[in-house]
Amino acid sequence: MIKKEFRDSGIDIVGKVPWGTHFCQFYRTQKDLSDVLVRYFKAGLENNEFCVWVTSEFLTREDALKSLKKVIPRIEQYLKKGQMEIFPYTDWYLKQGKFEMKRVLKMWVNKHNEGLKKGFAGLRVSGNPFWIDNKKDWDDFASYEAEINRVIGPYKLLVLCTYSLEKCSADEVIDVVTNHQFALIRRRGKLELIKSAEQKKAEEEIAHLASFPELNINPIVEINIPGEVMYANPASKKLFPGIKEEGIKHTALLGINPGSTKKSGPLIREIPLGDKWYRQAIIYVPEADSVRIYNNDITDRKKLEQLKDEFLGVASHELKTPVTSIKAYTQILRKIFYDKGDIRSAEMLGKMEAQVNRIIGLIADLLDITKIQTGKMQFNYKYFDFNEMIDEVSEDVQRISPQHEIIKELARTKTIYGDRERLGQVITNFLTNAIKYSPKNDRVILKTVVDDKKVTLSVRDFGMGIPEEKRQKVFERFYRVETTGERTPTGLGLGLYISSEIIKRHQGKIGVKSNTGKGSTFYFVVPLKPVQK
Amino acid sequence: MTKKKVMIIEDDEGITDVLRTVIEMYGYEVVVAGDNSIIEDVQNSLPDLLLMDVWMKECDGRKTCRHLKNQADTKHIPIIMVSATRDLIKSARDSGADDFLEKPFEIEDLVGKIQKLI
Repeated sequence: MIKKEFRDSGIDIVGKVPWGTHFCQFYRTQKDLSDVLVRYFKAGLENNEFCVWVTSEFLTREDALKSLKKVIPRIEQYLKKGQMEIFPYTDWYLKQGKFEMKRVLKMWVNKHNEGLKKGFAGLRVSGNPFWIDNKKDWDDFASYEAEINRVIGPYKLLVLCTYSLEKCSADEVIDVVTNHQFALIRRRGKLELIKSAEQKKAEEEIAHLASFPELNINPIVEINIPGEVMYANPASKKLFPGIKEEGIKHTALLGINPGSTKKSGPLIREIPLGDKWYRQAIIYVPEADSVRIYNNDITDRKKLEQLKDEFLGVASHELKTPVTSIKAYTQILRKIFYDKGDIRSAEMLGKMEAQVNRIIGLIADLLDITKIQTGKMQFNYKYFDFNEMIDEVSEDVQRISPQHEIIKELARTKTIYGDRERLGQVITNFLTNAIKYSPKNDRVILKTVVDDKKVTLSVRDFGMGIPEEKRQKVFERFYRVETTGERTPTGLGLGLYISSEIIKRHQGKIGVKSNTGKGSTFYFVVPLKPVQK
Repeated sequence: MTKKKVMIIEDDEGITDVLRTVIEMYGYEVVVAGDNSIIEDVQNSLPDLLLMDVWMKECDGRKTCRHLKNQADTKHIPIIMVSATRDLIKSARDSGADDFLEKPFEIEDLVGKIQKLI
């Protein structure tokens, strides 16, 4: 359905109607007829429309000109410049002697195209089948009217057919009403617009449904595939000024590709616009071959997130200072007790230090998170020996997990280009998770596979496994897989999120394969030489 | 044999205390610079090594480090920068420091780095 453009009908009770409106008038007197038609054509002429009036014996060409002149003083100019044409029915319907539907329809289409070529906005016409005087012609004309109804849709055409009430029998009135969108008739002294109750109900229902996007305080915009705005509710006109004119070039719609949305499915994104943030749902609508964008203002939420992230950043930084002291004193005391021979006390301090290290790990995670969120996580890329780093990292984890055996199956990877410490962080994360989530089992297998372009590292455990619906979620912030049984999960649920961000920054892929009850394999793939952006 | 002198440039008392405890335990003499007189104190005391925090309230450790490394009478003094964030290590490197230590640290790492330089 193309965007509907509304035109002024010139008739008060009709108001504005879109191109493609085909309606009728039942008249009794000449005055009835000319009153309506003159106002109709006046509006058309004043709005740059090409106007064609086919007259009848009831109201001839001369009558028409006279009544037009009364209301439109410049009518001669319009006629001279070719914006208005008045034909007697003999030169139109009955050209070539008889009425022929196909021919007349073609004449209208030609006039329509002629009007557009001349630079007019469209074609506004009126015709009067007063000349009909037998049933066959009536039936033919009725089919012709039905055909107009069927084909008028895509044309920039307004058609007003005028019928003499006195000439029409009851059956004929029904024919007319069936073939037009609505009818005009003067009743009890007033011009009335008649439409069926069905139509009224349908229109009310449409108006009711239309009020939903219309009254929505959130911007709702609909664009076609080329990116023109088909619909923009009042909220979008207010909050995205200029959206109708700029269409897909407007900053609110920047980056939206209707063609790809058609193929890819609904898209959700958050975009900044001025000093506000919007969450957008971008959805392809097949029935209309268009894309709808629903917007929600999330400025408050974003501000809160930023505040929270700043707070976390400051807090983590501040926490490091006392923790630095505690750790150092713990190590000093442990050394003192050890040197004195008090092994028991030294061991206790060793346990204390392990706990302090856990706190340090959590603080580091929090800090990393805020850096990821605020885009401040820095990476130090260099060439380094991959296997050497793996050995270091796995030995560190092995030392603090005596119950598990970390089995290594390493391919002969030489140097890779990346951030040694951050990749080490990911491997440590995989190993500690594997151990944490397989408390009853004793094996963890770390394996690497390399080819000339990339290296894949996987850590496999034989523990609880992860149910299918949760497998994608494990990489989300704060997500922790529930353990069955006694122990509640430790940690903040940040490790995998941070790991996935690190791998992303290495242009790599991260993932998990798992079977509930049988264990999980966490893996990442990174290119040997990532392209730094 | 006179003990080697390590000067601590740090504005947090807790950290200063624990650094002093560790470093003295390993046989060094410790002096602490005043917050507002760092350059003068270094010049007057001429320690064998400086342990300097990157971020202090009154001054920027990196700037101070660069200054000392450019000054004729102090540029020979090795400097270990101490930082709370890994990300500052690169910029600390650019200011000419000889080594860095990330907080929180292992006392063995701290002592090892000092021993390597003096």
